[in-house]
Amino acid sequence: MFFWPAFWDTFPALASGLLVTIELTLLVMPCALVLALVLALTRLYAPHPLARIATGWVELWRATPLLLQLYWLYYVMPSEFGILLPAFTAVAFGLICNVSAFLSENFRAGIASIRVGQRHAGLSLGMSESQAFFRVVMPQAWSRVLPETASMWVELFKETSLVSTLAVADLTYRALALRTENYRTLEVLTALALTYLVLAYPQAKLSDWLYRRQRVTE
Amino acid sequence: MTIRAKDPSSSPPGHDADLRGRAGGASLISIEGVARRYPTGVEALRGVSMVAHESEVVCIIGPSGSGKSTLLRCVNGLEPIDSGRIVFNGQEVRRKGREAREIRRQIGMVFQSFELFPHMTALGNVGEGPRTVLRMERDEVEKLAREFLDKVGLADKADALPAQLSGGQQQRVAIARALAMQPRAILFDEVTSALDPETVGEVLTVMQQLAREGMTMLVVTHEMAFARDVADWIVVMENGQILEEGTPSRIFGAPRLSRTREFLQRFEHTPARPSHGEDPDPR
Repeated sequence: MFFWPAFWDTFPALASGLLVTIELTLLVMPCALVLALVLALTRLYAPHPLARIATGWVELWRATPLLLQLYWLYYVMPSEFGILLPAFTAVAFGLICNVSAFLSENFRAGIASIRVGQRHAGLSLGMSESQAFFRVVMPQAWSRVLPETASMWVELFKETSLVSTLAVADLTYRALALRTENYRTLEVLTALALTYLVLAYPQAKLSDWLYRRQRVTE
Repeated sequence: MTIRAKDPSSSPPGHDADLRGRAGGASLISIEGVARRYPTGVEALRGVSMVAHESEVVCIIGPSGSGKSTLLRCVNGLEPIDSGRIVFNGQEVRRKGREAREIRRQIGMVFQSFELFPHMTALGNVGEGPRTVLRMERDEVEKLAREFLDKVGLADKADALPAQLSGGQQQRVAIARALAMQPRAILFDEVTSALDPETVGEVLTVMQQLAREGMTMLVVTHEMAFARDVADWIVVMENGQILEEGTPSRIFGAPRLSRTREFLQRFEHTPARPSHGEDPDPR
């Protein structure tokens, strides 16, 4: 039997968790974008050793599970290295590193996909390397990576739910806490799912729209 | 000039310097012993020396892979050179830094694959150099860009994106883009090779007009008719070296080397009958 009052009562209890989830997403995404661009540019244009280090860093974060990364930051760092980060800081840091690793791969491929002739065309007009990058290469690369970036945003919004396992009081954490109080698993988790759905759906639609627009301009 | 003739039976390649077209001006582009070996080990250029005078049209012809396009990219410093040097208007061409940009600003380049900026309109493409490099005012940029689009006959396509234009139209926009910088010389890198046959003519017509107006042009091309009719000087390249050079009537009429003759004979529609030494279509 679906107990509607328990379902409706879940939403107010989720409110403060929702704030944390949104806060985390809004903090992580811009930081990850900047870090991803820096990593992509380092891998493409920096001298060899530096580029290799950046590649290693990216592969490290891409090839290990996010949950493990968060555990490592939260539990291993304090015990082994004496670095105790508040839970929120630790998960924000982990998410930034993880998301930026995937984004940077996307950026790198996007920038590399703009053929060298475009850069040459800019340079042959007398542009500097940075003018050729920002006026010619970057705008084209950006429109290519935008859809993928948008869908990664949606992904991030949902993946923040992992932080609940580290006692960060996000949306999922609040719901799970409520469930242990009232044992209304079905109602509480359904309400939680609906909350994610309502918030993520428009974002997903937006990223679909970006994909379609992208195809038109190609 | 040092050219190692690979064909021992042929006479050393000669100069028709005394016959050289409208070479009234001083040399504008001087290529001196330029060699370039790619990181892959391929020797693209093996000591190439040649000169282009002010207001001269120099066509560089030769089989694919002979180093023509590489040479062109060396002239405006897009391609590094391993030895030798290139002097433009008294200044040595560099690959990086302010001097490199200064020289590129004065040398336009038109590419085989157009390389228009796809995220800008035709007008935006033509105005991009004046706006970003010359830092001209917005109104001025637009006026200038319209003027040059009009010059290549595309005033009505100002707001079109490159993707909405035919190949020939794109290449004319690319020429307008180069012209908008008001360069002293323009490099043309096989600019009709990627075009549909029916649009080749419109691009060549624009180039011919530029030649008449006295633009200094370095043209890598497979259009033998264009080379014969428009060029003041022909350079034949093979294997990263210059085989021979001379006036069009001399090269097409009486090539000195058998290798040149063999190359020219591959263009059946281009009359190249060395033994008769007569240009059947003099203009």
